[in-house]
Amino acid sequence: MVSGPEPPVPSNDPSPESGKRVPTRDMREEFARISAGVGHDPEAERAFVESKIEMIRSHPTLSEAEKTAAIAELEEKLKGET
Amino acid sequence: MTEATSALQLPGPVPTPGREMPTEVADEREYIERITRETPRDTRGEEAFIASKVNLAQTHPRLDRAERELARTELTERIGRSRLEDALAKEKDQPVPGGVGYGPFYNSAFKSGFAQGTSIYFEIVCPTSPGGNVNTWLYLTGMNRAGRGIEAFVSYYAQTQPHFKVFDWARTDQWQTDIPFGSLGSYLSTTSAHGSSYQILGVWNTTTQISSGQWRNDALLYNRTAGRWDLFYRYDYAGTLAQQTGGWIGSWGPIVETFQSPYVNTNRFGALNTMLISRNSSGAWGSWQLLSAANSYIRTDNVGFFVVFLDSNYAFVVDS
Repeated sequence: MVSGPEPPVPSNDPSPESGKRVPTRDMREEFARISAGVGHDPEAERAFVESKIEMIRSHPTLSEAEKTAAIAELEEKLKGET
Repeated sequence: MTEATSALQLPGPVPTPGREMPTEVADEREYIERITRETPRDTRGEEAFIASKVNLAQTHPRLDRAERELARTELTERIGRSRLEDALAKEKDQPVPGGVGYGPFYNSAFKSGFAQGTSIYFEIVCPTSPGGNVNTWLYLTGMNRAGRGIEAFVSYYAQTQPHFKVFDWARTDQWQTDIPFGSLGSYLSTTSAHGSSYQILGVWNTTTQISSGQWRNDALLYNRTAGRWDLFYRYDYAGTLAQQTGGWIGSWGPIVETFQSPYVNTNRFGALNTMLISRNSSGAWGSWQLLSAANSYIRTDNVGFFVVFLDSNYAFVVDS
């Protein structure tokens, strides 16, 4: 069992005052079910990737070499993306 | 090109920016005019130029609202209303992806400043409608520094219902969670900051080494109704520390990622209470620290947003 960090304390959370640790529940199945019911949007997915590339190209402090490396890194990680 | 020297009357002294300048002056007006006549006119470029000037005025970081409006009025007078509107209408069809409306990026030392894990918590200030002139995508996203971590983010598209999504940089099938806001009732709540009330979504995502060469991405949402953390996403994968700490991916904290310019009359977006925590090479987690100006810097591409407030750099709200 890998121990995670102490949970962060959200704003307005009452638990720190009561001294109790906020419980955690596994909701993966529920979220996966809702996600499966939402239609696939290839245009939005393409826009996400193009946006990241443009974020690199327009970055105010990266050098040209750093931009080239960052775009290559991005393309490498997105190889499986359809 | 022929050098036609003549005794031209200059309007003033020749500029001398730290070096000697030629004192002879050539009259090349005819040559330049000929070249200009021979060059096909680029009406699209001319319209873009005009539209860009409006954009410059509307996104100028040093102009307040009234000054931006004055600048727009001046441009309308100088260029002509119909010509200006034609140019703006055509420019509107051109997407402007990849901008950063506002938000912190991690300094390189901080970006790589963890060994066996890193985690971020932030409260996304996310109105149910983006409002204003948003007519394409707009993301409220952020990463925990890990290059193979996730983006758990709010995605707007025009004025339709926003979605909460996960894009996992460790996978080949990166698109994972996709939840319409209508299904997030237990997770959306309101909090106040600087005297105003904001709808927020508390997002906590962690990337941690679970064994030698094996890493895990976890994502949780704070369930305000139940007063608990809900784990909604987990993915285990093979990876190295160098893949997590190096590179550019993972370098952005909570940002407003933009796709058009300028933004006008939008609702307020931002992030509150941004905290990060690191796990060292012995496997021990440190303590949560608010994101500070010492380990991050603000990037803004001047696409029309005004800063409502900035608490360097763990909380900000912008609008337009």
